[in-house]
Amino acid sequence: MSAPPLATGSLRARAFPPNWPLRIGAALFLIYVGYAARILDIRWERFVQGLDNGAKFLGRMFPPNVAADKMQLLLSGMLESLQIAIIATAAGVLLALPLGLFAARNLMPLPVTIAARGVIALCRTFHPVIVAILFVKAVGFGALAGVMALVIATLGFIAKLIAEAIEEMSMKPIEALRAAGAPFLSVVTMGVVPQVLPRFIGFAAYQLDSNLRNSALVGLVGGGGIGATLFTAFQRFDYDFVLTIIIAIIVTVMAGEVLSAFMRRIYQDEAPSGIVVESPAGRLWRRFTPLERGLRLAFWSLAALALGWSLQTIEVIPEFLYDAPEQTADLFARMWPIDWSYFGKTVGEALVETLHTATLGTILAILLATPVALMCARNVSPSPWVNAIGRFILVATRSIHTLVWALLFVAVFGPGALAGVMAVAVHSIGFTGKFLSEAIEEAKAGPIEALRAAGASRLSVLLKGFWPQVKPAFLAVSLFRWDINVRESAVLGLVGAGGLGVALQASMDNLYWDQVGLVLLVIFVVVVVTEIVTTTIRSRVI
Amino acid sequence: MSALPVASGHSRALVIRNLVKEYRPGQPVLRDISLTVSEPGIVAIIGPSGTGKSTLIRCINRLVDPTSGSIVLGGTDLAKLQGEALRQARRRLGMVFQEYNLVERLTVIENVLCGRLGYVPVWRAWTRRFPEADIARAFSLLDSVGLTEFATRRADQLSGGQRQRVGIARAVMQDPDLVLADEPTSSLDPKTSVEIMELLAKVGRERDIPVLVNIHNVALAKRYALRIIGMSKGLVVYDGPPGGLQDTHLAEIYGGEGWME
Repeated sequence: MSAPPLATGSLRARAFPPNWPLRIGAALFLIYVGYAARILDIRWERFVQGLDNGAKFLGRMFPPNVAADKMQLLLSGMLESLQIAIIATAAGVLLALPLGLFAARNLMPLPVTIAARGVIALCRTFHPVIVAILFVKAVGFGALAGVMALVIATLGFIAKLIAEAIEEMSMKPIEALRAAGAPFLSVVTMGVVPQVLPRFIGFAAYQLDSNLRNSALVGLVGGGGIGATLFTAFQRFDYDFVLTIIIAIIVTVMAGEVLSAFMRRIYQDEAPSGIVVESPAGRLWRRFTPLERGLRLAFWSLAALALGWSLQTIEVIPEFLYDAPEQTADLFARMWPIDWSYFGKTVGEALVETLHTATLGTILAILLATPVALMCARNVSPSPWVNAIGRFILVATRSIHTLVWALLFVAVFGPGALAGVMAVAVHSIGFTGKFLSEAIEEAKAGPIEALRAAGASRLSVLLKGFWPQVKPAFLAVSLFRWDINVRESAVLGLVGAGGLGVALQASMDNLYWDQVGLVLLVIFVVVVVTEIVTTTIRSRVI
Repeated sequence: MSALPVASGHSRALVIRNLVKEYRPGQPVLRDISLTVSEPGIVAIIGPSGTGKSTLIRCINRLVDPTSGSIVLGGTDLAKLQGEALRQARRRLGMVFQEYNLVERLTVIENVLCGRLGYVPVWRAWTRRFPEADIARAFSLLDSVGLTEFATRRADQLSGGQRQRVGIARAVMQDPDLVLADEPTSSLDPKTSVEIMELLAKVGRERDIPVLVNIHNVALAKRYALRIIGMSKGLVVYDGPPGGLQDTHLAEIYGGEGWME
């Protein structure tokens, strides 16, 4: 990779010859950033003007509105979001169990896995917001549409992870149980479940707090819950109430994370070993001690109560539900034939805008997340206060969904891709920073100590000690986040932040369903291509 | 101890006829194996790696599907069974694996009870409410393999030798007519290997059933087997008592002679 040392005219070998590919790469990178910014009409003046607006905007947000009538609205919105999250998680996880099993290539015949994988891919392709929009059209405004959208999202995510967990398990015990003549379901019960249960509980717990976050999202497009409250507050310029809602969301999501961590501790640590009981008939074995049995009973009763309460109180109009399949079919029928001419007029440009938004947003996110990650990493910042602040920034940015950030930034910078880039970047700080700080904390201490012992400055330690160790994880996280951000950027336009979402919103407002069909198709293709690109890069480079 | 006469009649005999297995067409791993095993106690199969010993064992309980030939046990041709009938037949064939194949995250007693999965309905497996008679038997089997104290330990906390004892208890739990053991000592140290062979011999003796063992260690095979089957290149080249196994046979089975010094 080294270039000939022509520049100096010296014949001596140089320990650190200039790395031309890297320099050219960096130059190309900068040229791209400039070019993309131009396309998206991101200019310094606009940014500065936006900061000015932002200050006014923040001024109007403080102090948060805690008037009694607002708190009433907040409470009913949050409760509905909670119900949406509980029902969606329960139903989604329940459906994901068989789907994930059917998709596992080491247990199921090939045609079954292909069919199951197709369903999973379909569930994962479209952003929950798009799914929510379609369900709002099919079953009307309200919580039901939100629940259905989140069930689809949960189903795709959990089923994929279950299938992967099953495919990674050891087949040796499975072989032994088959050799003992166990029927398939018994093999699953005693051979598969014990092996995948710990990971499964981790996913389910994660999904509950993820659905709590997402239930704020589906409300923006009419899917009920706190998102609807938030959107209304925005439309009425009640910015002080917006802040109250945002704080409430952050607190709820944090509480959800604590709860799911607790649940993971109870269920994941050790498989129960049971007790031996002496009885007149001889020794008997019971799977749980009376205490364990009681705890489990309590847990399941609570879960059942929560689900029952959610199902009871959530507002569902039965007529809409019965009508749903017909309405959905009608919706798709109206999308056909697709209006291809819309592509040249609007969609092509919007597509370019979406891709640039995702890319610039990811780049900015990495720039913003790196210092936060350094703050969080205990082996770089020894102060617990600095760690805690860093961690708070990560959780706070992550708790607010990209679309909600986009609402805020549209208010600050005005409609357009600048708000989109900022929204993508700020929301991504949490995810990117979390993984980066973990990678930094996993770096080996040896080389770091050696550099410190040699009197290297802090910056040198970072560059020559940490960076080489963190680089692969850094690239992997960036790529993964870019993949996610392409999906997110496609829907930002729904709140005015540029890209394909603008085209989607426009054609929906005009009831041009053949154009909606085209936009959905384009999003589908982009998501699939992005996934192929990132998978290829990942397998080649990382 | 001498080989018992075939007292229990032919119904319990394992009769393999013209067994052929090709993983790839035209490249047989087993070519035309015919064997009859009816005497209780250890029958050791020896032979170099890659000669088809494992394939032979796995064809018998159909973890591997034979290409042609018949494997008759108790009047049924195992080679022709499918689905439910195959599961029913597998219950009568206990299997012991080289790497134990326990469910690591389950307790020892649950692993032993796994041997009953062919007999009990799924809901009993799910709720772990096995019949009391089964549980009592599982405990007495743990007593007999010396693991009484380990019943509620997780399988991944055991040593290799202890895990293999659990594996044997699980096989016996099936109430088998025949035990198959695929290299049961290859992952174990010499002392533990002897203990495991001792245990397998005891199983054969006490339950009066044949125990078909693949084994690399010729000395162990000679010490515990009542009959030795030598395989080479997918064929049986020696079949007889351990006393009759001469160096010339070993040279034929493994090839060359230098290794015997």
